[in-house]
Amino acid sequence: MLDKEDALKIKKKLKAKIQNTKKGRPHDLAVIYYGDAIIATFGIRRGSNKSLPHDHIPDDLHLSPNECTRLAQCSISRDQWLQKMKGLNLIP
Amino acid sequence: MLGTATTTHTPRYVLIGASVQEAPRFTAVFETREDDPLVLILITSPTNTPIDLSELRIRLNTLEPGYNLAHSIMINIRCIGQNNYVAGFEEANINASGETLHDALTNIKALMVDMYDLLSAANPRRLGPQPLNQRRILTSIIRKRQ
Repeated sequence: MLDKEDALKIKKKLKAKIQNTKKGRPHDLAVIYYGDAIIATFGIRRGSNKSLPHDHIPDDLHLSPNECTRLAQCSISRDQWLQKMKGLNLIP
Repeated sequence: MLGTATTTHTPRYVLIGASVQEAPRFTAVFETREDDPLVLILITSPTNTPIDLSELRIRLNTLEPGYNLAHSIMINIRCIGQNNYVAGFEEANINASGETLHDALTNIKALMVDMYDLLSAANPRRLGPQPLNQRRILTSIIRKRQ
């Protein structure tokens, strides 16, 4: 299971920026840029509980759950993820 | 409650929020109702064929206050573990997690609204293929109330 801690690691790894700062929302919106273009987004649930499930992220990033865990744990790099996105024609 | 659902042809009211483990297996289509967002209507299949409730397709008719849907859309909800659900709007690849079915549904509604606000305000030339497609779909189905 991917939890909030993994989500925050992925956010940092992919250099995502938090765009949704509205009050009272159930999540923040992490936005991933390539140059000045937005190429992907994913939600990070708000709350202090670091074990909140975040198993929606693999679909958002076009990764398998195992690849997403490896992305969080550093065995997949940002460049490797970008290569995968390029292979899927998801990067302009 | 989910556990009261049966495989008859009579529509039943189902309160989403209970654990899937409590529910029997049955065939179902769920629809949201604007007048009571916590209640989903269960319409059973004429075939009475059992399905696994770990994956549901829900017809979504409403979003959050201030935002309308131009037409209903289908949301897939998967139970992938105890207290762990993922809701997905496949057409636009928008996904959200929750600890109950209701949480996942509430969270994907909020995420769709936030993505609509972000992407509709963005310069389309600064959107990659996936966000551009998400913008096209969200702006075609979401209407912001004045």
